Amino acid sequence: MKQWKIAFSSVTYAEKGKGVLAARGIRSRIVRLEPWESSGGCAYGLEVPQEDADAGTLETILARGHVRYSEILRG
Amino acid sequence: MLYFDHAATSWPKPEAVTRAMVRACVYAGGNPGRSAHVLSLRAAEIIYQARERAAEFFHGPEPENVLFYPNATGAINAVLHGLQKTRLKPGTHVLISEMEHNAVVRPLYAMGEQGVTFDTYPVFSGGGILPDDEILAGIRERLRPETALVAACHVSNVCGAALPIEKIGALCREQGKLFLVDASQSAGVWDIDMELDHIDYLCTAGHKALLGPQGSGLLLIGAGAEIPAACIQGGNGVASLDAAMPGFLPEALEAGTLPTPAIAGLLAGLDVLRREGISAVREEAFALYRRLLDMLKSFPGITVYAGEIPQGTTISFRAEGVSCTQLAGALGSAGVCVRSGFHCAPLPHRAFGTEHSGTVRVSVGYGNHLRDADRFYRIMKEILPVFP
Repeated sequence: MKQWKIAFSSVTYAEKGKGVLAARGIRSRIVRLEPWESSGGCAYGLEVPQEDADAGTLETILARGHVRYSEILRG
Repeated sequence: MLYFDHAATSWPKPEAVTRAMVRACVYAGGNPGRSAHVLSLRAAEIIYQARERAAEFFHGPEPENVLFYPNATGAINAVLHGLQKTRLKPGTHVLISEMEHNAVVRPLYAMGEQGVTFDTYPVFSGGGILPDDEILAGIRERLRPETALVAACHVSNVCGAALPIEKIGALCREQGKLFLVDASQSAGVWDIDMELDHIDYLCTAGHKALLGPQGSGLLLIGAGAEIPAACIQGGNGVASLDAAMPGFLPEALEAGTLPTPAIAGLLAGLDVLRREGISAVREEAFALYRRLLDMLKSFPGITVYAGEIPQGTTISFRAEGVSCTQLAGALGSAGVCVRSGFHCAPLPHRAFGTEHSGTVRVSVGYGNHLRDADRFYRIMKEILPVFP
């Protein structure tokens, strides 16, 4: 299954993102990011099935939910 | 046992709190925000839920504006000493109420060495507290251009007095002053709305009327309020390659491992209050307070301080010619848990004239019932004649 990977600066924002997406019926799973996927090292991400939402929809939902994220990567 | 020391810490905790703490130890025992294994992620989920619940409970801003400290003192120090690095520079001034606890007084006293001064605004009057407009006038009179912050102890830990924080907050907003509220005694009893009350920094213990365990203090930072500089630096699982602390909440101010079991207990405590309704808990406590107040006043030789305050959870009193320490000790021997002394709050005792004797403090809360007053009355009646 193809996944989006949303990068967050901390697990707090990953948890917040997970909740906001779940409220819209979008599945996600918290993962640790690879060192090259984040600046500064040690960060978390959310893996989201691409079949659940496109990147634009994810951006909109996260922005409306006041969730700060770094970027949306193609997993 | 009759537990009347809720102002110090609530006891017994609801079973749900104890169970949540044990569950956290067993099933969420990883380090939150450090790893991605199940034990760590469960811990992170509990902590995030507690941030969400606290933000909802106090009508605060986003969950990330909720920070955990070991206690209210830690939260207050984080604000005052943190702002000292940004806003509270030498020459600035802070205004605090006559009700403040040493959690506020002592950091400010220490900051005096670096040129930060503070004054108190009057609160007490005779058997009660001043009318709201006089409290506000007292604040207005003492505000200076260099006043950066106003602090208000929402509810006294010595007597039942409550400050009109919504009006003080509005005044601070109008005057462009930061507003800190110490809600250690009020959180879980009185309604607090960070937005309506214009609170920039809400500091509270989690282990009192919020029913959490010791070790679960909270700081909520209002939307748009200045973020204090970090007083404690260290690892928090974020941007580990950077030497500087992160620039965003909550990790900007949280360093080191958070106490997941304590926070799980606090989350359970908040859920108990939400389920049972804070107003129901409050009404029962206030009814007991009034009965205890009337009962204590009926004893000859007993002085109740600020005894005209109609609602609250805490009463301070003295028995003429009897040491407060001995009276509290005798009550303790009879199975009644109360506190004697100065309750870490010198300013109210100066206002009451009890700075040499202290008081006996009776404080009620969750788990007490109206019938407890009758038992207390009987015990007091037995004890008082024993003293010469």
